[in-house]
This record gives sequence, C-alpha cells and structure tokens, in this order.
Amino acid sequence: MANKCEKLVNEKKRAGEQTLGALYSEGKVRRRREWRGFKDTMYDFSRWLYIWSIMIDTSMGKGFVKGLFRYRWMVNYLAVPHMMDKFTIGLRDEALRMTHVAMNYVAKDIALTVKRCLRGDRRCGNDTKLSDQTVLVDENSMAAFMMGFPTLKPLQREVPTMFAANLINQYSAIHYIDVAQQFGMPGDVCPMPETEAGISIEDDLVVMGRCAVQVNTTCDGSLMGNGLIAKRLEREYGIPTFQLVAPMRHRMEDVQKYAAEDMKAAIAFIEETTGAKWDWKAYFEAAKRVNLTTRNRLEWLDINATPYPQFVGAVFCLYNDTNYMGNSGRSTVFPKMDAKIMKLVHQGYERKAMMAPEYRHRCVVWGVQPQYVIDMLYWMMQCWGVVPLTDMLSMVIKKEIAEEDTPENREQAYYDMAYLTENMIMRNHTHGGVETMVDELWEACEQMNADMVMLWEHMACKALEGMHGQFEEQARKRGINLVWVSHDLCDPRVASRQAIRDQFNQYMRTVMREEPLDPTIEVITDNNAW
Amino acid sequence: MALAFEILGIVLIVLAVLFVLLFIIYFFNLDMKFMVYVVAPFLEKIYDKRDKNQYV
Amino acid sequence: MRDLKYLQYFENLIQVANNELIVQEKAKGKICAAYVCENTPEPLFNLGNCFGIRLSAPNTGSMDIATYYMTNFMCETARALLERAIEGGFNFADCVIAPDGCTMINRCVENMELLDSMGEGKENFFFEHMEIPLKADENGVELLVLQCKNHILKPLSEKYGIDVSDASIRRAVAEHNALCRLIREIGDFRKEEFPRVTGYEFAVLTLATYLCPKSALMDMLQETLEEIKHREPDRKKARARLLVVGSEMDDVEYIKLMEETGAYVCADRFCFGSLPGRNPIELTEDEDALVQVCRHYTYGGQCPRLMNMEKVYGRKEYVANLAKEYKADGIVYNQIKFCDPWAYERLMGTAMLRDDFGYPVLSVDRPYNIRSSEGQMRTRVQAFIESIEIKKLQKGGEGDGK
Repeated sequence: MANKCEKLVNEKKRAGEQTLGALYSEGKVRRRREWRGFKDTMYDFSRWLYIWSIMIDTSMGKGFVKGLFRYRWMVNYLAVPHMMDKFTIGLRDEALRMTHVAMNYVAKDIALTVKRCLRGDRRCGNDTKLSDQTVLVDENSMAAFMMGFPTLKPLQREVPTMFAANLINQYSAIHYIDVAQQFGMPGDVCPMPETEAGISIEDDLVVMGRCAVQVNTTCDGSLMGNGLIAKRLEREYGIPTFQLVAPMRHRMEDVQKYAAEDMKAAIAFIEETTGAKWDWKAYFEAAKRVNLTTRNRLEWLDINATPYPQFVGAVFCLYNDTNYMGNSGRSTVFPKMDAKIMKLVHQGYERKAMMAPEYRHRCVVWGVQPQYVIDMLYWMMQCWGVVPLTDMLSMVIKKEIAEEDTPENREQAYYDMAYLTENMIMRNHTHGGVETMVDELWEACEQMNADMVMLWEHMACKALEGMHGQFEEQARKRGINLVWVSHDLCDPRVASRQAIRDQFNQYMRTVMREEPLDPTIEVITDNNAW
Repeated sequence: MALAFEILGIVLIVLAVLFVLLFIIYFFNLDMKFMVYVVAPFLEKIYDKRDKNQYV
Repeated sequence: MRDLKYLQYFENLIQVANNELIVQEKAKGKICAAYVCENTPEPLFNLGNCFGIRLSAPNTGSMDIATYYMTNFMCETARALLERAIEGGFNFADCVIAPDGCTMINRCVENMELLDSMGEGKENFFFEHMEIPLKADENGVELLVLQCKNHILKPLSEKYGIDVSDASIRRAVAEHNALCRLIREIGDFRKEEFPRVTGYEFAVLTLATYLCPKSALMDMLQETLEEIKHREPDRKKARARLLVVGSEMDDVEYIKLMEETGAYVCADRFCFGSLPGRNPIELTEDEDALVQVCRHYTYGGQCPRLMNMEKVYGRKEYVANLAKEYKADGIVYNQIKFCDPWAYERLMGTAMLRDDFGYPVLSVDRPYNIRSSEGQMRTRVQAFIESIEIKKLQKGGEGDGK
C-alpha cells in the first residue's frame, strides 16, 4: 500500500472567516460565533434558534424543574448550543447543512430522552403510565430486542447522564469518576463504565421503568459495571433486570446459536415483566428501516472513498450511533433524515465540494474516540488538511437482515437481532479477536484509499492497548502513517484537549514535516471550556 | 387601512428588533456566556449542598 | 511445626514454568496442552496421552517486550505470560487453548500467536480460541459443550490422535477427582483451631497441581496427606484468620507475606486456589460426561465474567459461606493491577461483604510478582490485622469476626 497522497486544493475560497483562532478565548465558552458569510451565518443562526426551541420544549416537560435541581448532570444541557458549534467548526455549504440535519436530530433524540427520564422518574415527574411502558436499556447496547415491542419505550438512562453529557461538557464525568474511586474503584479502568458506576453509587440515575435489559457491551468494564447498577435497580428500587449475552468471539459460527437463544430469553423476559406481546409486523417493519440505514451508510462510505468525501467527522459517527443503537429501526423519522442527508451528500459530491482549503492526507480514524474532544476531527481538517474519511465506530453493520415476515425468517430474526447486538458500535471491533481490531483497520484503509491512520489510543481500553505493538509493526510494514493520540476517554484531567492535539501537531511537524493550514488553531486555549 | 399599516409597521419593527437582539446574542455567544457564568455556578452550588444517598 | 517432606520439592517445581515433571512426562512422549484460565474444563486436557498445564510465569522480572506489545496498562499476568512466551519459556507446550475469559488474557494469547512465539519445529502445534459462557444457565452449558468439542477435543484428536471418547473423559474426571479430594482433604485441616498445615504450604501444594502433570503428583500428595494427618500443630493462635479472594494468583510469596505478619490464610478463593478449583466433578451414568463436566464449570464457576445476577449475588454469598466455614476473621479481596473484571468485583465484593455480611475486608490491588512491592503490601496487611485485633478487643472476645 502506498504512503503517498495527492494533495487536493480547494479552488473555491471559503466564505467568511479564513482562520478560526480568533473564536477561542481562555474562558469557558468561545469569544463569539463564526462568521461564515451571510448565507451560511443566517442558516447557522436559524439552526441555533431551532436548538433553543428544542431546549425550551424540553424544559416545559413534566418534572423538568425538579430534575434540573436534583440531578447534577442536568447542568450540561445548558451547553447544547456550544456543542453544536464544536461540530460545525469551519464548515460551509452542504457540509454545514448535513451536520445540522444530523446533529439537530441527535440533539432532539437526546432531548426526548431527557424529557422522558424526568417525566417518568419517581422523584420528578412520577408519570407511572410512562414508567410502566419503559424498558431500561444500556447506553452502549443495540436496542434490537425492542424492535418488536412498538408499545414499549426503550430508555437509555446513561445517554443524558454520561454519553451525551461528555460531548457537551468535558468536565461532566469527573465528579462521578471521583465518587467511584472514593468507593474503591481503581483509576485505571475505562472511565465510561466507571462514570456510570459512579452515577449509580451517587444515586443520580433516574428511577423508572418496568424492567431493565443489560448487555455485555464494549468491554469487561462495561460488563462488570452492569452488575453494580443492576443491584441498586433490583434491591433498592424493585426493577427486575435481565442480562443479555453477546458473545465475545462474535465472528465464530459456533457462538451464534448461543446468542440467538439468549435473545429469545430476553424477549420472553420483557413480555413477562411488562405484559406486552412481541409484534412480528412491527419487527419486520423496523428491520426494513435497519437495512435502509445500512444501505445509506455504505453509500456514504463509498462517496467518502472518492477524492471528495462529504459526510465525515464526529457527526458521521454520532448519527450512525444514534440511528443504529438508540433507534434500531423503530423510528419512522430516521429514514426522512437519511434522505435529507443523502440529497446533500450527492449535491456536495457533484459540486466537488471540499470542507477545508486543502486535503493533504486521507485518514482513517481508529480506536475509541474521547468524548470531550469530539471536535478533533474537524480541527484536523481545518488545521492540517487531514480528512477523516471514516472512523472505527462507523464501520459497523455490514450485512442486511431478513425483512420479510415468513416462518423461516421469524427464526432467523433471533439470529439477526443477535448479529446486531454482537456488532454494536465499538464492541464489533473491541471484541472478536485480532481480525476485527487490527485486520479490519487495514481493510478500511484499502477501501477508503487512506494514507494515514489516526489511532485514538484510549489508555484504559484493554482491547485496544493489547494490540499496540501489532498496530505499530503492521502499519510500518504497510507504509501507513500511523499517528498515536493518547487520551482517557472522558477524563480531561489525564490528557487535556491541547495535550491531545499536541500529539497530532508533533507528528505532523516532525514526521510529516508539514506546516499547518491554519496556524491560529494549532494551539487552542480551550482547556477550561465546556 | 392606515391602522393596519401602522400595526404591520409596529410588528415589523418589533420583529426586526427581536431579530437584531437575537442575532447579537447568537453572534457574540451571549447565551452560552450567561449560562456558564451565571446559571451553571448557581446550579452547581445546589448540587453540592444536596444530601446524597451514596451506596454500592 | 515440622517441615513437610516434599515441601521443598514442590516449591522448586513451581519456580520454573518448564518444571522437572513436565520434562519427565514429555520424555515419555506425552502431549502437553497449555491453557490459561480457570474457566476451561481442566479434565479435558488430561485425556489419553495428553496432560494439561496452566501457564504461569514464575519469578517474572522485566516485562519490557510484552509492555511494548500491550502497553503498561495491561494486566501484569497477561504481560508476564507473553513475555515468558517470547523468551521461549513455554516451548514445552504442544498447543495453547485460550478461552475469551477476559480481554487481556485473550490479547495475550493472540500476541503469542501473531509473534510465532511458540511451537517452533512442532508440525502439529496449534492455538485455539474459544468462547465460554457469560451466564450460568443451560444455554451456557450447551455453548460450552460445543466450544469444548470444536476447540479442545477436535483439534486434540485430529492433531495428536488423543482419545476423546466418553470413556476417556470419564477416566480423566476420575483422576481429576482423586486429586481434588486429596487437596480438599488437606485443605480441610485449615478449619482447625490449631491447623496442621499452613496457608503457605497449602498454596504451594495446590499451585503445583495446576502447573505440573497431575498423575505425576498423586503419590507425593497422598504421602503428604498422611504426613499432615499425623503432624503436631503449633499451639499458637494466629493473630487473624484470613480468607483470600481474587483472580489469577500464582505467587505463593503473597500468602507467605501475609502469614509472616502473623495472619493465617485459612481459605483460598482465587483462580489458582482450591475453592472452587479443586471441587470434584460428580458424574452420573445417564448423561454424556462432557455435558456434565461443562455443567460443573458453568454453574460452579466463580469468575466475575458470569454476569447474571444470581451469580453476581451468589459469588458474595459463596465468599461469606467460605468465611463462615473456615472461621475467617477477615477477608482480603485482591485484584491484579489493571484487571478490569476484578476491579469491579473487588469494589462490589468489598462493599457487600462488609455491609451485607459484616466481615472486615481489606481491598487491595497487587502486582503479578509480589516481590516488586512487598513492603507496601506487608504494611497494608499488618494494618488490617491490627484493625481486626482492635475490633476483637472492643468486642471483648474472639468472635467469628463479625
């Protein structure tokens, strides 16, 4: 594989600001918003108003005020507009629009989750009807086992408390990490399940739902954190829990029956505890939408493999994440969002639209992204002209599942749901052996015509760290420029945002011997920022 | 008719002022500055004071 | 107490991975199947002409090469095993069979394989990776049966012509049980007020049963049991009786360190220990032996990866019951540094054993080789023993520690 990449210069001058450093101050938020030229600034302004309308609508929900004062994680939601600014740094035209379409829907989805959480929470809204319709689901799990329960609502309590919170506010997790460590958790475990454990210990998760289904998701820490959370759910709040298994070596044929049988058991558990009946019609309708998601995502990847990638960056990953895991084909709105994005992607591709003044390197982003520096991928593009073509979390479901309601497909459906669950975002690469973690990276590089890999080295991710030497040696053998960027997922005290960017800066200067496209953002004073 | 134009004019002026105000808030990031320097510290004090039920 | 006749011999055996008994058995033309986790059904490695050895890296010093491959955030057991494999210390093995018990041990064996660190010049050498159950239920039993067939029995039979029939499995289980009964019988002396075997001695004997060919140990163990039966115990009470709970613990120096501080290690619930690792497997005639062996491991396992809540609660109850049975004054929950499953298990176990069962608990993480931080550990154990003594004094007597 070659390690050279043709430089591609954007012939169209970017409207509005040419450099972005002026936006940042040493304070907690940016000095001001970006001037993107009149048209795009007005568009961004309209989206800002839309985000505020979502936030105001959420704040009108039952139990919101109580929740705002009860739950520490609620403070993060003040910063949602700030998060949107992080996702749109330097973007114009189609790229700006598709980011807003996708992220506005993600924000809406999270807002709905917050609304439901506070409405149904025994301590806040105490809406028992909503609570009785709710099945608590792991944050990192594929809610495939809910595809045939249209009358029930899966609720990922950890999304607003941990996952999304850390995208919005880099310091959102540290209080809970400290609580977990105060109770004896060592500081070297993955801070994501550690934070969730801390939230549970602090009793800061909403209490609602008829039952809960937990899955061994991304790592041993995540598997183990479930027990701690389930204990409190069962013993203190009387909410029964089910532990659904997703095999570790999920590519092996001889584990699929095991997974499918447990899927049946999970569905039976939900039926038994909620009284709801599995609806095959709803399942196969949802299956069609899952397949549509897969087809669309693969098409976006095909376009990203060309010299003019369109739907890239953290938004690509988060949109896929929400679409597959939170949604799993249940929502009828996602296909509409997909269609809007697809239209913009095609339009941008036909126009040969570029997102930065130059594309110098085509990069595959691998490993586990740090939540608190989610804007890094846009920064790489604007600062160094390195285009993030795709990332590990977006290289997810590859095959389509059975979508016609036939007797054979009803049996196949359990295997398909197991397949979706085994291939949940992140876990499909962290588990399954070296082939899913290392070999598939090189396949992705081939597929995307990449000359560079940015490897997020989440220092507490044992599945990733365990292959450190292999990545290093195999990249060298293949002539791939491999940039290690270490971090601690959601604890900025371990590696600050600038410390993370500096690793990339150093590589670009010392190994690639290049100068930045926009030197004003090589160092950004955002260590105190949300 | 004149009254209708007058009302329309007032509405347009109000909308224009509102637009300008909102745009100033948007562009100079005043919404986030207010949240981060006023609302968040107030809420954080409340969270710190709250009795906790910490338990494994 | 008088020294045990074979103690030094056993101590020497566990000082090297490729010990004298392995060399002897290999010289007889036997096949050595190496494995790496307590969740793999042990008797299946002892079929016919084959014997199983649990990999261990005694006297580990530097782990620099393994640290390059897996970074310094990986569990030291995983790194120590990889380092030893790269050094050529496991070249006696004819295959390695690894369950995906935890991420780190899985990565360790994958690296061994990718680096071609073992099997040089052995035409039939193979690595196998297998799935093991995540819950204790019949679905898990079915999985384990299939996995054992595909990843243990089939390759052993195809590559080395090992007899994997039901009769062969029953023979292996009978031998396994004979050894387990010996170990458990010796271990039962730890319940005595004045025990006739020290925790350290027992740890040496038990560890040897994992690291050496079992059949070669039987006579010496039998003789040791007889010796202990007639041994005169010291009439001095330990300062505290401790139950040690944890994961991969193949370093007997750790137990020695505790006993040097005046404690007595009365029970061993860890992965190289006797509880539950040396529980006999009861077989009946009305079902395949393989299924029964797999059921024993699925339901009897105390590994934190078993995630159904019956097991999550059950593991703590199991420890509490052991503490009661072995009259422990306190419990030491330990975790190998950087081990994720035991990080959580230790936290939860510590909290539950203290809050729900009322035992004093010391919660520690430790290096693979205790010699690298002996002083710190000694201080912590001493402080724990003192706190138990103070509690006893405050209660005005020597209760059961509660």
